[in-house]
Amino acid sequence: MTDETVLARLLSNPLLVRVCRIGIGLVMLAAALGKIGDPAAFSSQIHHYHLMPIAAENLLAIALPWIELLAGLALVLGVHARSGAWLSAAMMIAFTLAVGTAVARGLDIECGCFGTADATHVGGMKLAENLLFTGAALVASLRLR
Amino acid sequence: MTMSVNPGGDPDKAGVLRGAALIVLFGALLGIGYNAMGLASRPRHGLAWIKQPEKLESLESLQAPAPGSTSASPGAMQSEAGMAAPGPGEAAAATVSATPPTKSEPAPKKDEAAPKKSEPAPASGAAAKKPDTPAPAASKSKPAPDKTGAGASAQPKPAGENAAPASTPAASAQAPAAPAAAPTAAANLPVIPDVTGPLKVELATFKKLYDAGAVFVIDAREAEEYTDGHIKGALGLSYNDAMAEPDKVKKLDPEGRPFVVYCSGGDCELSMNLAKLMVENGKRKVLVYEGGFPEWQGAGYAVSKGANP
Repeated sequence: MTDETVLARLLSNPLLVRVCRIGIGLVMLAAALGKIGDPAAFSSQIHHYHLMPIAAENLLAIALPWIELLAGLALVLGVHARSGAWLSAAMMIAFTLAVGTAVARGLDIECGCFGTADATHVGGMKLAENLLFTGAALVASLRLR
Repeated sequence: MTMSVNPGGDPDKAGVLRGAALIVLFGALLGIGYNAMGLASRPRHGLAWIKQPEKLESLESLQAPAPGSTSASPGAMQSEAGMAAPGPGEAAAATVSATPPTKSEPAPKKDEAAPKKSEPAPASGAAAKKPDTPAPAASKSKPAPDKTGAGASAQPKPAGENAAPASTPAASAQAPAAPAAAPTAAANLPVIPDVTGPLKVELATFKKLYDAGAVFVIDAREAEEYTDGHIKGALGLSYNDAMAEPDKVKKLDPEGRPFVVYCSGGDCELSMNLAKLMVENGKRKVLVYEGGFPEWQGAGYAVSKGANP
């Protein structure tokens, strides 16, 4: 048995996939609820990244938290769980890139990852946390055997 | 790497993608619906669909009405998040609709009889913007431009009888030494309305206030840029530092003078962001000089080099 096969078997362990789905689902729900409560603050946090046109910042702040909410619910409830997991993985990759570029540009800004519920600034720890969540979301997106 | 999880491809792929698209669609619709309800409710609490770049009301435009009637528009700049209420210690100031820079101790009327300087008449905001405002050459007789960098640690002093740099970062960085403002300058100074948000200020008006020592100047750029060159007498307080340690903002003591915050001009938003942060921390009378250091330096006005003393 090659190392690749061992890793594949390990990652596709149904229990691990389910745990990752529940875990990422809860993370998504927490992130969504922290943003839905104060979209203005979230819009401001998006602005600090300087990664998108100002005109689009409010639209993202309006829609993104609800998409996170539905993705989180899908994962936790197990309804369209893989769809929620894929979506979560895509969002986590985007968030990780945003945090990475912010760190690379030397910005010292609030992450905004959990809206106003978490005032953590971007940095190495936040980047590592995002990478961990991204990995978990990718595992959660695997098909259960 | 081929995972043994999905031998021969993923038969569910289309369904998964369809599900993801539905989540995005319904999520976006929910968000839009929720925001629409917020916008329709009273009081409104939704976000504008299209975010507009924040525009500050200018100090000059607020000079047009008679000073007595200036109850300057209450929200010079209301961000969507709203501005924090003034700090407890500033409650008294909030009741004043418009006051001249409080550092100017002499009453304006008393000064009117005093000999005028070579400064242009004060004026309404429109006049302040005119090109006949202190030209670099004319004003060089005031605060002598210090581009040598040698004065980095020296406290800016008024050159001759004129103009003291507005703010002088004291060693404690809390109470810049009060400049020896000539009493005559006070009469010509624009009124700084006590509004709840930052106002922008043009170079000419800023220069008048600066020359009179009636402002507390803050450089919102990073420490390295400040060290390379800054408006003489300005205190270096980068926006990033201020965000990391809001106490630095709270401890700022302008001794009754308005603040003027600047950065690199152009697209630089550090001064705007710092001004908002200051207002959120209870500071009042915060002006943003959008021209920034390049415009000031280009006009040949006083600059210094070196780190914060």
